[in-house]
Amino acid sequence: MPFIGRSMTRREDRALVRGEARFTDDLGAADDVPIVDAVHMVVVRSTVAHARIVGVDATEALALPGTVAVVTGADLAGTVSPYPVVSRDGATLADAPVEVVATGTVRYVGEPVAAVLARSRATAEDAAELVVVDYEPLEPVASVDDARRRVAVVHDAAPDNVLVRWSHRSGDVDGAFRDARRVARCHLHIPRLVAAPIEVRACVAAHDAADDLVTLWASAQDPWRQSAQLAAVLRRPEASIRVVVPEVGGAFGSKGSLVPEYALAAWCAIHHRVAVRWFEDRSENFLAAYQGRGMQADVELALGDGGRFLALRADIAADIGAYLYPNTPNVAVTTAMLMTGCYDIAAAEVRVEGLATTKVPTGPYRGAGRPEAAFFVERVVDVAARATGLDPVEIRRRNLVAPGAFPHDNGLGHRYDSGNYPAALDEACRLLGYDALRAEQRDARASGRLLGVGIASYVERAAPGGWESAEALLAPGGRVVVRVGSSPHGQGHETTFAQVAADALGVAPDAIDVRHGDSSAGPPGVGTYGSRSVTLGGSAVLQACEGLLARATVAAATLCGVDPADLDYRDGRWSRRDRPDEGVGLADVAAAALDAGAPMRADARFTIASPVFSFGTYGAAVEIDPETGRVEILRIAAVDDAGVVVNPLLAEGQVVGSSVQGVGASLYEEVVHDADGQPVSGSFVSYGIPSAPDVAFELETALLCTPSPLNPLGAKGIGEAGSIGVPAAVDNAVVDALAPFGVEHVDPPYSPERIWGLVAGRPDARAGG
Amino acid sequence: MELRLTVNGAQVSGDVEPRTLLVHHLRTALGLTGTKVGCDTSSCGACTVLLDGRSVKSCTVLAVQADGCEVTTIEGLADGDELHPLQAAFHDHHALQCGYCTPGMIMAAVSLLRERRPLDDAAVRRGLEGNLCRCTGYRGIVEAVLAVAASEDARPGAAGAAVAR
Repeated sequence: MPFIGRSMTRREDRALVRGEARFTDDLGAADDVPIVDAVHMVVVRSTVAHARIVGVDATEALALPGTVAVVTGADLAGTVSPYPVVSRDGATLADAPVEVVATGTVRYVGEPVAAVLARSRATAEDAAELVVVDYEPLEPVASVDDARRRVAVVHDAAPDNVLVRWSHRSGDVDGAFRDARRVARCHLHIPRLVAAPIEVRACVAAHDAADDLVTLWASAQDPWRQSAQLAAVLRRPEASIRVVVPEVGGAFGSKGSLVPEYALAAWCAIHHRVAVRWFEDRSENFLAAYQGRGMQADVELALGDGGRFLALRADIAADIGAYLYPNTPNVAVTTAMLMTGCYDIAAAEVRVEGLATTKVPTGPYRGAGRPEAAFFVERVVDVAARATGLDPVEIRRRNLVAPGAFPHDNGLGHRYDSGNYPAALDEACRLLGYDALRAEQRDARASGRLLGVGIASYVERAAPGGWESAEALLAPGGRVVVRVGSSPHGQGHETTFAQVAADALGVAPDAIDVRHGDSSAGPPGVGTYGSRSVTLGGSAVLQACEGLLARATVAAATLCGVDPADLDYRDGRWSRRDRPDEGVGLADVAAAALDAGAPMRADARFTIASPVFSFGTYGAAVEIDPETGRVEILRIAAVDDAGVVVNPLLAEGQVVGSSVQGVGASLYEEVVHDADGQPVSGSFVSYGIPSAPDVAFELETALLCTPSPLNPLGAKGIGEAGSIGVPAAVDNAVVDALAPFGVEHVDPPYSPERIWGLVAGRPDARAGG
Repeated sequence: MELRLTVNGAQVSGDVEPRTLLVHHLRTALGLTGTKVGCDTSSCGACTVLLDGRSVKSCTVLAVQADGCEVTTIEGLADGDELHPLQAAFHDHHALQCGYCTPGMIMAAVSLLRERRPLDDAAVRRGLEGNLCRCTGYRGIVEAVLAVAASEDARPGAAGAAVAR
């Protein structure tokens, strides 16, 4: 029985549950990290949203015993290059890369202005408070509307405050809208969110002057993007940089690009000849780690006879923040390219403007553009349902891309590889108990209860970024060591990759060791993001192990004195067809290869031509307390199709975890800045993420399987599913519950205050900030 | 200041700055890095340890406040190679992904199992309200704690005793 497709508990767990796993701030001498002489870095951050830096006075800080150095933008000038930000998918970008330390102008509260190095963390914090920064205030640009009104220009390179521009048009959009029987319209807003991994950002940087090697131990999603971007910023060849990613306490997109503070620590290590460690506070993570979402859209859907979707138009505005990280522009463009959703829509026109605001930059957060697309599309579909009098399930069923119509060009530049959208819709309705809920809703409404039911179908682009690689090595004793470029931060790569390798090699997963996370050891990689690791990294593991088995079979044949075709292979052992009792095992082949001085190994680099497209349908049932405005989620049904799933236990874990993050986005989470651009939500006290009692609702999950034709595993991605499906489904359920009040739309989060305002007939609570 | 603690059964003493938090003392002076730091506001619970048998957030306790007390950290839970029942249950029920909240979550659950009976889904959720997990959605965590509670209840006369190791 194959191991692919089997629920297996994780090999990663043992060290983690014992408290023995090593996260970045746990590293020390035992990990070969030069911690003994390390200095602590504390960052001095801008306290204002937009200002010219008149001067930085570090006199008092330097006078504090234990202070080693104070580093400012002036020190870095001429020694660092801008972050490499390149356009993808045809986006036009302004030249506004994020800076390591502010030079001349600060553009958000929390922007690094200086770094203090000191012998102890406490001294560094004390010294940082003694650094005096003189600001000449400039007008803050606190919202997309402020940016469009040009209350100030954030970057001279973008006089119109537009940092990202993208548009696409296909089909006869104007004709379709002209001929439409009806047009469904809505204006939608999603607030900024924070990823909030429980481990904040952390690094240790050291410079070996003898070898001129910079080593960065970092809490990051992968070593590769840190390494490539660090090389560009520090103007060094990548070969002179080693990045090690130890255990990582979650990321959810927020540790993908090089963290400016990591670059700062590395710069300090080089120029001050000390090892530098940095572990931010939670408040710094709220202030300065790039945030997610922050997008609004005007969406129009032209409807023909029978509720047929004829054409879609969308204008999307993204609150980009003060600068572009390398992965910032991708988010809004990802949204734009998925705006036809799961539907067969012949004509579409979508425009994106990403606007500069004087707030912390945005970037990917779990879903990274797909939750926004699902929310925008699924909301206008429900508006269309209400306008046509069709049931929300029925109007979806009439417009979904048909199962026989793949590959499907979505009109916005994507080719969906495979799918069975009606099957996911049907299964979600069954799991949710859709028909029974509708009946219950009629009774509930008659007695004044506010029960709502919402459905959302989504399709997501998974496995972007082209390739991953793997190396399989036959080790002494017959164990197989698989080194992968792809590295995890909680996903369970070691367990799933061992399952893939086990099937390829016909052995048990226990016979496989999986290694990752060090840019100086093993094959190169791209990174863990965009639900890509199994599809790309797993396929690379599969091919490397197949290559290893082919080589080992040739070697086994030599040992047995027969032709490879005359051997049978099973359970790690080759036997002669003519004399089945005679044969050799993996250990024999390993020993022979070692004797010959040529360890047996095989490499593979799996490249995919285009992304794969996971999909699913989510359903939500909610009840609203009209007295308090509190939204209670009663039940969520999550139906996902990620093609072939290697480990259903872990896949379901991703669905459940991302669904709860989706509930956080729906009910609680919202980054708030005041009109001056000062953040108001700066801790877990003022920014609530779900705790265990908040998410006691029923959550029913199901995995369907429509394999992808684009990779040998048939896999797609599952890591972000619930963050995409849940908010859209819950939103439709909340609006459905409020239908008796004539409510046509409400933006998340659905706080009691906002909902109560609607129930009490307060129209000012209708839209978010 | 002079500080004497019993940590995971061993007596330790040393000099400590009065402003040192217990979590920093454990991690830095004693090298017990299993206890994590996750926030500045006593919100996340990653730093949960047992102080004289009851769970506390060690970022909210000065090291000197623990003088003379018994501290149990995640490193003190397993019996050699044998995992504590909660550690095993967290593994069995896929109650962790990144694992960063896990030490604090397990220590909070140890305390919960000792203090509160009977436990059902809602009681476990309430009992762990002070410990944040961003990965799992809590489902596996609740299942793991309930499984250990059930196995203890099934053992005659053993309610709560086994986890007090």
